[in-house]
Amino acid sequence: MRTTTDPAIACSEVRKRYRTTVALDGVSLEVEHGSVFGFLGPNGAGKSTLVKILTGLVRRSQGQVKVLGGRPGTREVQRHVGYLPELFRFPSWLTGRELLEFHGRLADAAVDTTALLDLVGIGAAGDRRIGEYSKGMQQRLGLAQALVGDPELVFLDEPTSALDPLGRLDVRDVLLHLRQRGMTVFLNSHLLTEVERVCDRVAVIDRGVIVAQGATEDLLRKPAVQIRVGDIGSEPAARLAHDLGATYADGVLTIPTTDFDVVPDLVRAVVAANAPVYEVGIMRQSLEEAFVDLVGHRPAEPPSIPPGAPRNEVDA
Amino acid sequence: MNGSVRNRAGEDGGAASTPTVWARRRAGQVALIAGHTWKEGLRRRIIVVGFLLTAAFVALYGIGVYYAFRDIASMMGDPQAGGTSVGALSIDQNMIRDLAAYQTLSFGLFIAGFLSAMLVVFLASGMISGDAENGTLQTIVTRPVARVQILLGRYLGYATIYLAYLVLLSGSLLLLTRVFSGYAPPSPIQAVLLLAMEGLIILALVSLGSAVLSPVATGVLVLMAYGLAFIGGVVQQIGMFLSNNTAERIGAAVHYLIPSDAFFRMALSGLAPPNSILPEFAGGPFGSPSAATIGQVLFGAAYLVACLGAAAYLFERRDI
Repeated sequence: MRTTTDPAIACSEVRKRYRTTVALDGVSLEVEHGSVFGFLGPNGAGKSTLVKILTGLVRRSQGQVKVLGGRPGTREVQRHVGYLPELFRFPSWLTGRELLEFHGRLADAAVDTTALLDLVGIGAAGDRRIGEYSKGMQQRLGLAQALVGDPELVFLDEPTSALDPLGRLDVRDVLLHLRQRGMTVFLNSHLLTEVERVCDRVAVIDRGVIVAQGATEDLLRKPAVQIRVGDIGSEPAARLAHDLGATYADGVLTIPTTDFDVVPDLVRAVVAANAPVYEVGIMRQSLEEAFVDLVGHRPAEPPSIPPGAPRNEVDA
Repeated sequence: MNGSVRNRAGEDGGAASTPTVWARRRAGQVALIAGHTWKEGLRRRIIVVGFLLTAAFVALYGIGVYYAFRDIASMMGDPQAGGTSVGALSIDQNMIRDLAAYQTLSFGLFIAGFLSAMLVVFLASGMISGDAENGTLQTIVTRPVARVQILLGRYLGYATIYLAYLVLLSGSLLLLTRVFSGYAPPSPIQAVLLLAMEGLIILALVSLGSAVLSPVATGVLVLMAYGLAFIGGVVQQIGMFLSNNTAERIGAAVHYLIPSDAFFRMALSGLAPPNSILPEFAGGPFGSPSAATIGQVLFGAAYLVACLGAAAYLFERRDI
């Protein structure tokens, strides 16, 4: 199945129009084999629509899509793909183990149900009916279901939306475990810390358009050293900022750098310039700040997507 | 996607080496989904509740038939109690008994057909749209299973539940009538088979409806269609009785549009006393039989297949 030249996922200029709305407006992205790819965006931005196109649930209006070198939705591609939908319901009248067995038979694959249930931390509840599961347990079972048949590529659409902080940690461990095994993971999320910690690469979508894409490090961390010098007057401040390659605002000099060995030198330079030093700090820009920078200035309710459009209301 | 969803089966590559293996695997997945449907019916106690209430209905029917024919027998004079009868009169007595038994049966089978159709509609009206809306379909469709297999598996599961129900119910009614009235209809098995077609057509309509409509809309649509077909039959019957061609043609047209009721009436023809001197309407509103024709049966079968084909096409193209 795997071809060495093809990426795990490649799509270019994908558009999806619903009757009156545009859910995706020319999305292009590539996901390498073995990477954990984070797909970020505000609610209603088009994250789930793209995943549904990549899993063959939804037909695109335009554009090219290749998943594992083939067309999404075809039997041969589906055989190597796992999927945890954002909104799902499993039959309440099955046990967790029976559900995994059912999916194993659908996938024509041998399934070690005990190992899967243990992996997601619900081994003790495997023989109970799903109707008795909590929302969080159902989400863990959903994750196990997505891993049935040992897929090469797994799509997880908001896999931790129903989980408490400990549950999220568990899922993160599972994701890291999958990455170690070489599985490609496409993670839809609006939980930024989650993406920040496990994803190699990230794309940010807003109103159907990719607004940023790249390595998580590049996109998210713009580290800087901040030195609070207080009000030293605008002219000395401007000179100091110029000498250090810094910006000055509200009594704080901000020097973008990834090399924190220079901190003592920076402080010496400030002191040598006769400026007081009240506080020195290292700042890493969080994904949240990057995210706000990218999409935050836009109106909260995108006018292009009316109330009827599918939208993720489940929030953390 | 613009036509690119076609040709799924061709992509199996080395996974299915021979046509036999290929066919067996496909059939296996259809059977798996049909079995899943049975398990749902059993675990959610739909089947148990349906069968228990139906047993109550059958018991009531039996009590009614028992008393009705005991009284008819006593009114006509019990031959064993010494009341001798002339040959011609006893034939008439049997004729009255047969007609009464037929009317009872036709009413009973109308209810049987109606209850089975209700069962089918309530069980199956969510089979595509409903499951897509509530999120149970997404993880199944994304497995290496064609959507048409899911549709066929669901259809097969509901159809076998329906057939088991119908055979038990109509068989009980036939047996009770036979035991308490002594009337032996000419072709009861053919009648049950034709009646079964009625529900299978209803189920195909449900499949088609649920490919595009919500469960409630599907249920309303199919029950309305069922009622319309029945009224069409009544109109046809009136037309035949009054020799009104227009009414008869309208009724016949409705039977082509929705052939469910036509099968009910063909089923009745296997239950009606042969050589009856009574006119067609004698069976009352539930019971006007019309002779089964190969053409009608083939049309019904083609209609069923067309409904399923359209459902498969719409399901295939549907966003889930």
